[in-house]
Amino acid sequence: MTNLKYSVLPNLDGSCELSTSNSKVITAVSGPLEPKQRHRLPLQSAIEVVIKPSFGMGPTPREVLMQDKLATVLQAVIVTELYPRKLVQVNAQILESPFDEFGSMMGNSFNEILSPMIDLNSCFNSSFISLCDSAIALKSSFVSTLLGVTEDKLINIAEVSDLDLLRSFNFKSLHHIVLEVEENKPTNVLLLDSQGDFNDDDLVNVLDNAQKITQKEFQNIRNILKDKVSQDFIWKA
Amino acid sequence: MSEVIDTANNINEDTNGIALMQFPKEVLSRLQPDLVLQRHLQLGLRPSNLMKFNEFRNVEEQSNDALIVNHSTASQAQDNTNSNTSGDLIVANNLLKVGNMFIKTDLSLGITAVETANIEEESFAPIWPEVTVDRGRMGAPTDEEMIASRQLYENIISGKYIKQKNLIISKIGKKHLESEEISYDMADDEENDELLLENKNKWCFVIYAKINVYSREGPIYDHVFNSLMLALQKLTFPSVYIEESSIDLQISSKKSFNKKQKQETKRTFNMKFDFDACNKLNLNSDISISSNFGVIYKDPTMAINVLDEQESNEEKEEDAMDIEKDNTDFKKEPILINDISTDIEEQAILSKVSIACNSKNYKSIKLMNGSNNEKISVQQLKQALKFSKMRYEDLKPTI
Repeated sequence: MTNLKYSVLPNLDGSCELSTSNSKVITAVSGPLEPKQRHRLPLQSAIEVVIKPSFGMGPTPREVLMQDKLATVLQAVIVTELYPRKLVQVNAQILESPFDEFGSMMGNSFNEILSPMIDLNSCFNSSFISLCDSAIALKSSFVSTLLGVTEDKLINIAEVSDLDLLRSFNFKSLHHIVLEVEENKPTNVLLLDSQGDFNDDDLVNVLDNAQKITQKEFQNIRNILKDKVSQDFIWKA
Repeated sequence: MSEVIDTANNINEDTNGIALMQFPKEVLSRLQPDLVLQRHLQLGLRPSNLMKFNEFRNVEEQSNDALIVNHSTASQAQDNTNSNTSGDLIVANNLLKVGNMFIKTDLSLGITAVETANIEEESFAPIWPEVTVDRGRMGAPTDEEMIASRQLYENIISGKYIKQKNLIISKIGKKHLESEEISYDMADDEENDELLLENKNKWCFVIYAKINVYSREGPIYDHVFNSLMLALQKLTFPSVYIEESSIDLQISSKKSFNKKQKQETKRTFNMKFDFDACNKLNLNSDISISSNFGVIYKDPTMAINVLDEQESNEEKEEDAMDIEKDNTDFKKEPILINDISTDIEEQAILSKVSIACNSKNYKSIKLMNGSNNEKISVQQLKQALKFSKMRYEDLKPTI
């Protein structure tokens, strides 16, 4: 079950701490800021994403790839034309990852793929709440889902709380899907990152299920945002 | 295709005195890649070599087997293990020419100790890649290089190409002192057996890939992946042996002769590689071919003759019917571009998908919609998946 707290860092424009059954991240959004000269774009805002790993110094190439995926999706979602010559900075710190202990990758090497996907999945959902908290203009909402396909089952990885169970799954393929939500309905695919062995049927099945999960998850997020807005505008009543 | 930029300012150049600025095509494509691309799209062509939208660049595999380690260099390198100036031994390579871009992949081997008990049947080995885009610059790797390297690393594991078990050195030979012959069957005499048994299944090969990209054109990842896959197909492992003459017993002389002395004895030996007896790597899964696609919307307002049309339309502004017609004419139309192949396309196309597949399955899909107005729809993804299968079939003969 996803648990989240917004506005946890008072000195930043927006922040959120999100914990799923097996991971925990904290994200912060600052912006619009004055960018460095080389980041200044005449017609739109630049977007900078920094992800710090739960273990060791970062960003390493593992995080650089995660940053690239997050930044590309944010580019599509943030109304960049509204902040020309400015910078929107998104920072994420992974607090807990199910593969924290060094060396646990041994055995099933597939864990090496799963671990950044779990981190990134939480970063996506958490950065959405942070962006809402920072009042940066967004074109649409988005919800991220991580699904694993085994021989006979489809598993929503964010809900697996038993870490030993998580490590023991023999996944055929992993799918990280970020769906755009417009008018309370999941519409477009913003990011689809699938790895492993899969065919067209698997893909259709995964996308269908991702839509259902997105619909459910977004209701949850929407209720939290509703509370937040009523709290933030309590003076207006 | 006119090389002249028509901006709104230039229309009244006589009255406000702003001179008409002209840029050569090369400059304009740097300044306004989206405009240049749109003008090509209007003509139904793409900027690079006037390709069609669904056309891929020509891919040639250049054979350069001469570069692969031959026996003389191998033995030379073995003899001078200390002077390892020439770098690693290359066991497989590939040189791929994609359009005007060259990609060189060199696979080399390392060796590491491994605990066999910890390796599961379903454990797959990584390749450690290092992608370098050569553009005459020194310094830390760029983001692009790091992303490509990491993506290769992840996709090799998730594609399940190499079983970890296949990399374990299960057979160690021995070079006899007198006969200079290497035997890979278990030796008869007991003492040596012990040494060989001790090292059996204890060591494991590690694969390194050094990939260089020259004359970069467009996104590199897919071509780098294909080059690595083709090189992987050729990968062979040398046999490993122990030279009898190099076996050395080290007895520490400082210790007094006590009971523990026997355990202090340290045996050193050199493991050597026999390139005359190479074994081919058995791939767990067929290699796959990766291809990329992008979606861009044709924007009629960026067409060259659009200003005249707009002006004439403005005159008839009262006519509601005309405006409606106007809107339909100016509808943006999505175009699926295969094989993003120039800097112009790379910069202007923000929604991209990269698909790796073989004849049976898809191995990886990375779809990223980087623009809110120009998204890849599910229909276009389906189309791209179909093209990627076709591309695999096309490139298979070269494999």
